[in-house]
Amino acid sequence: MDKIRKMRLPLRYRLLVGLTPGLLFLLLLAAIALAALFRIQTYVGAMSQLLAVDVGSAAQRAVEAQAHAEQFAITAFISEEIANTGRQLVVVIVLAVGGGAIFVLFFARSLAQPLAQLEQSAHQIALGQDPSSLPLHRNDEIGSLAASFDVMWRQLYESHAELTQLLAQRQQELAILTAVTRTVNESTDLSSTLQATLRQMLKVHHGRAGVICLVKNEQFQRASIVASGFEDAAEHACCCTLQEGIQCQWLQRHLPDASVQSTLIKVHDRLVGVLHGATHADESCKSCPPFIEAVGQQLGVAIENARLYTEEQQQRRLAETLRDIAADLSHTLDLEKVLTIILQDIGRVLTVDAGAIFLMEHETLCVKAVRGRRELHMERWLEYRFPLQDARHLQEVLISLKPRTFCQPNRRTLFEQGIDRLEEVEWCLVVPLVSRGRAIGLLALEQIGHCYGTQEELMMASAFADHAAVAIENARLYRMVEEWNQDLELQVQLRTQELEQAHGVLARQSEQLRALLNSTVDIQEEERDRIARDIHDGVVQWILCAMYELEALAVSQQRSEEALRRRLTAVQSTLQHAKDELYEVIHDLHPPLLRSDGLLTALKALTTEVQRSTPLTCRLRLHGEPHRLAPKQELAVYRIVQESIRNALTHAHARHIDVNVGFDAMHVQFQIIDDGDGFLPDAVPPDRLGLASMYERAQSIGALLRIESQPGAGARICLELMMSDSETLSGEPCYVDSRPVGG
Amino acid sequence: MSIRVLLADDHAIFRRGVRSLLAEYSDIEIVGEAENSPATLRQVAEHQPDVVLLDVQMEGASGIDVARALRQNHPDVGIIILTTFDNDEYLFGAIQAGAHAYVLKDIALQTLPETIRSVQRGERLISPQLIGRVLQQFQDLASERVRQETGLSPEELDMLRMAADGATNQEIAKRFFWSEVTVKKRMQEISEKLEATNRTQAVAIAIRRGLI
Repeated sequence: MDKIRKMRLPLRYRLLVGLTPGLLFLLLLAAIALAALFRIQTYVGAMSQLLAVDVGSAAQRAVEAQAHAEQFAITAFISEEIANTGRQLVVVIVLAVGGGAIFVLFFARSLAQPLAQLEQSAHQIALGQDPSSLPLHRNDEIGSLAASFDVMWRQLYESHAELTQLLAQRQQELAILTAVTRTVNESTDLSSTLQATLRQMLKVHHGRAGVICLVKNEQFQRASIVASGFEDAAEHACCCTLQEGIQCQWLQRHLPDASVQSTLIKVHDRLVGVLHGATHADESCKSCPPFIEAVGQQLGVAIENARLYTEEQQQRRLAETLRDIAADLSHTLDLEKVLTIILQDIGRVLTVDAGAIFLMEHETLCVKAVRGRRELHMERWLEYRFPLQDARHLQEVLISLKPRTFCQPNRRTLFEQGIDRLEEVEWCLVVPLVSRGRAIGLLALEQIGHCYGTQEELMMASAFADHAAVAIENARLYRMVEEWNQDLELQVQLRTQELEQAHGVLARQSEQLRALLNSTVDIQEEERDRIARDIHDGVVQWILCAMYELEALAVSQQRSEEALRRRLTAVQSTLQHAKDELYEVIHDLHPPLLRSDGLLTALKALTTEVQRSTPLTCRLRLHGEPHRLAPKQELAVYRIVQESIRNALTHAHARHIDVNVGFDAMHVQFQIIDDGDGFLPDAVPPDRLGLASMYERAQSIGALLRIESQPGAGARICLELMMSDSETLSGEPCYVDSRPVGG
Repeated sequence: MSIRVLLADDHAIFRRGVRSLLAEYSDIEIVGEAENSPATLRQVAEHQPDVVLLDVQMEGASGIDVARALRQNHPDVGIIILTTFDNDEYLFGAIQAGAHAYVLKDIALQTLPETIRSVQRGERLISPQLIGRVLQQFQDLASERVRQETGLSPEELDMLRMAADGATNQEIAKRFFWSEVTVKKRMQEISEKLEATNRTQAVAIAIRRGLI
């Protein structure tokens, strides 16, 4: 605008500047021409006069003066004429300039004014105003330009108004599309989304009705409808078959005066529904088809979203349910409980009126659990068995590992024998229970009046069956493990018992062994002490005595040979005694007779010695056919007899001791009977009287030792030895001279 | 006047030997024989002998106990323990009980009359074979006393002994499973206890005082 304003002045002045010099130049030319014309006329007159003077020669001189005067006069005249011409020329120029200027001014004005009007009008148009005046009255080009200008701005106004309206419409459409998109994006409920979309859609183009039909079961089914003015009819609105497709005429029938726009709703080139929109027929609507198409696309998104959402929800519900079921199942490992829980929980994923679980047992399906439909008395099915070869269809399910639906199955085809009233089961879904790729049984489900068959149902049943199979397998394994455990526990108990017994025996033996060892050590120590004492009290004293006697002899003042001999003999005798004592000790250490001549001879020597060296009577008696025992046994027996005699001698103050020896094929029996003070065997501490060592010795050779005694009634010590064949040296000569022995 | 001797021994045979020996000496007279402890005390009271020959092992109280009783009741009676056993328990027991002499039966037979006479004179005697043991005992007691006086522990004495044998601190540390620093520290403690200025002096003092 500023540029236009700035150009207004230059335009006017340019006209002025362009026209004025031309005019001036023309005027000047005219003036100069006029002046030149006058001067030429003047010159011509003066010349002619001059020429006329020259003609009379006599008179020439008179005339020459005259001529000179006349020349002066002419020159003055000419000068005057020139001056007059100059003045006239100035006046003419001034008049010409003034008139030209006025003319140019008016001319320029007459040219610039309409242009300014046009410019102002254009400016007004630009500002959106009606042009105030246009130089339409002129007949020239400017008038024609103004007329064109007038036409132009009127058309421009019209088209602007139209564009504005269109823009508003588009904006509305866009707003609605945005709203639709938002609704689609935000809402998860398809029906409310559809309803809201239709309402939004009808806001534009004065829409009268909108119908959305979705593809369901190979047919368009009404999913949503919004109508104004024909609600009653709309209630009965229906869609059409897929074959009729977009050509559905329903709306036209009900709204004959309406213009119906339809678009197919597709998702990834898959037909999912159709959208019909009806507007008033009188309203031509160019933008309706693209708009409806755009809404249709959004609806496609909404439908797909809803489908995905529903699917996701279903999956989630299934997953949650399965998780709950798995949790339920994991609470127990008891097979019966697991089966019960399975039949309870299947109701959470599918509508089930009755259910049964069959488990494979040696090529036979065995009904393990049933639930539902009391009128069928399904509990009677329990433990019914179906050999696989008689249940072909079930076998197929087991082999294919895929669920199979038997709608209105014939009992004979499903379960060919065994169940009386199974024919009442008409709708049946049989799902294999698969564990580690192997069918371990079947889950049979029934819903009255419904044939399971949708993809979802089969998927849910399969997913549930997988969980159930795992739980069943676990429970079975657990039961197996438990049985093994019980078995193992029983065996362990038995073994433990045996071990405990053995341990007890071992402990007793170990205790006995330890006691034996201890007492053996004690006995050895005791024996050593006794031997040392014996040597000290016997041999040593005799030798010391001999040494003192010899010393006495050495220092003796007596020199009589006889006396010396006598005293030497005494020393000899003392040494003899020492030797005897020493022999006794040696004999006591190991009776030499025992090894060389055997037990009986040693015992005879012992009793004889006792008889000889003590006041009591001691006799040895023999019964049966004697034979030799193992050296270890003979020594043990000898020691026991010796100890018994020593006890009788030293503690019991006995007067008679009888030693009886009896042989038969399997036994040897020794009895040492004395008539001493007697004692209570149980009251005597085992370490006293050498009883412990006697018992140990008896045990070490496998003999049985019994001590029978009572205070005042003497004592009877019995030693009984069982003989194995190897220990029996039959035919061995016995060195017992006579019987009874001893005396 | 002959020396009156009472012979107390539970072995009659031995008494016979002693009697036959002493019979050869005119200045010694056996006034009685006893075969057990009560009889010994009774006979001492009865015969008032100058010297009693006592066996250690007798029926009833031991010869040591009899010697103790005699020292109390009959302080004038000389007591000679005449025994087969040369164990320390009997030897030091007898010395503590106040026996005048302790002689072994097999060795004493030649010196027995002289022993009897010495005891009768109030002297105290021990079989020469046993003197070494008595002296050793004395030495142990004496050094124990010094050790107690100085406050040295047996362990410290061991260290001193090793040091005396020329062991270095390192060797001592190895022997006791200590560090050398510990050995050095303990050596200083030992020196302080013995009032020595260095370990050499400590070892010297220990030797001088019979500690090692």
